[in-house]
Amino acid sequence: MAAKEKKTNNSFFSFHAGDAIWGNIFKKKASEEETTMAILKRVPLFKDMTKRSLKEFERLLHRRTYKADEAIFWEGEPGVGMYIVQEGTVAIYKGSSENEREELAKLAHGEFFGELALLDESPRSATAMALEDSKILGLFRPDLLELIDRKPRLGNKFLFNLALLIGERLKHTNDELQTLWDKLEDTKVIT
Amino acid sequence: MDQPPVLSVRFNPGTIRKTLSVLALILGFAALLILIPLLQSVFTILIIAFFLALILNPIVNFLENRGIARLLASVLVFAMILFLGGVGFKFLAPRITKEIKQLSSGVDEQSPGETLQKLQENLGNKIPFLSNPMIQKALKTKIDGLLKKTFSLVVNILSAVVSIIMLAFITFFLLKDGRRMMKTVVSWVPNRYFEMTLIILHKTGTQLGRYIRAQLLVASIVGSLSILALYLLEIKYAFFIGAMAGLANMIPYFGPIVGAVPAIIMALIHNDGSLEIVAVVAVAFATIQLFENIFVSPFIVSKSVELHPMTVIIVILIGGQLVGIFGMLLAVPTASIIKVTARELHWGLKNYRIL
Repeated sequence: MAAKEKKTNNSFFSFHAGDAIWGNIFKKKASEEETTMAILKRVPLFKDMTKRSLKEFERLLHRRTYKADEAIFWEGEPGVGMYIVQEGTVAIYKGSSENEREELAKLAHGEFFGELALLDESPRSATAMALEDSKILGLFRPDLLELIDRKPRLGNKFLFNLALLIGERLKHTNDELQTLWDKLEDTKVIT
Repeated sequence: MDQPPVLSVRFNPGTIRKTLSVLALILGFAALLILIPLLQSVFTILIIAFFLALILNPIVNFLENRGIARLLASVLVFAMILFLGGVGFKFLAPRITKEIKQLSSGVDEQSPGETLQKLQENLGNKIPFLSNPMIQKALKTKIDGLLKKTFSLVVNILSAVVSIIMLAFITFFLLKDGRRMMKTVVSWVPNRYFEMTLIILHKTGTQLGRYIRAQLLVASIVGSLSILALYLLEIKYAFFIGAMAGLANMIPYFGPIVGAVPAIIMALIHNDGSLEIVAVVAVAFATIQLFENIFVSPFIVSKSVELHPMTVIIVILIGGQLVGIFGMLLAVPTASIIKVTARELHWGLKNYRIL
């Protein structure tokens, strides 16, 4: 496999389009010890939900622990669901081998990723790897589908919030693209 | 220029781990195969409970959907089943118990010899080669064994009651906490295989649920039609044989035959070997089969789980060997489960780059 040329990291390209999809665009600080419920409350997907509803979701969560440098999922694998970082740090990478991978985002307590996989099993668009020993909460598509079946009102509320989130990310992407376009026009790369 | 060929074998930890896990899997499977015949009744109960829970799960989900807590929903569905069972039992018990007692006594106590002798006489008159004593003896021992094995499960009242209670217990808890149990099992899976396991379990479960429910619907239709036909033809033990025929219908290829044979035997025994009755019964069953194949199955059962005919036959024979007639019944569904699981496992392993 021919070696890919590493992208030069100069100030012109000082943001990555990846940020909009993977980065936490809902910046909030987190403290070390938090109960699962408290973490859920801070995730926009569970906005405006009663304690009982949150409890319902908390029951669906899978708790996993990952060692440093252990992959949570690889780029190209079918996606199963989303993850919320409870403890530790997770890095999102694009690119397959160790030397040519490009870091898109770094996520810590209370931040989440991979929520698009809740909708279908399209291949993951990036790799997620734990940077240190981490505790991650997982919410997966089969469980969500069953929840929608058993408790449709709650499922709908969640899906609505998911749609809002995806919309936000899309707007963010559009803004970044627009800025990129303007810059390219400025430097006359494109006329 | 050419380097002499060097054979270097490197055992990196990955290979050793893989070999060990494959070995462990094979040993586990072998242990299971040894244990199954020993723990026959336990396995039968577990498998039946599993299938029952699979069928009743959508109903419990439906109730939960309407706002009833899962515990209450499970209890309600269970109570309903018990009620239906109770009503059915009360209504049919006298008939069924009489039929079963007569059948088993007819076979076990009033020595199998006598009933079969009658049968052999009748058949021997019509089909000369059957009066050959060796064939008669072979047939006798074969039928003896098969019937004994089946009826020993049914007739031993005390263990039957205990079995049914255990079945109810297990089914109830599978219904109520099945999901939680699954989750606990999944939490033991190492990270590397975790996502893959989730997807496989989900896909397998949905496909199988659909398949089993469809099969059962077809079986009940065929069963009802058979009971009706036998009743009209005034064949004794109509209900029992008809019900067995319905269930047996789930066995591909052999099923319709397995269902028809008891009916034909009964017809022969109690009508003094008139071949006319045999023909009528055969025609009745054939008609039901035709009806099922043309009007019922295509609309209900999606042929998503297809097994090669050879596989089907082998699997049914293995099932019969391990667990008797119940084994033949459960053989194909179990094999389907294994096949779907294997297919999804292969898909998963490939997509998750383990294979």
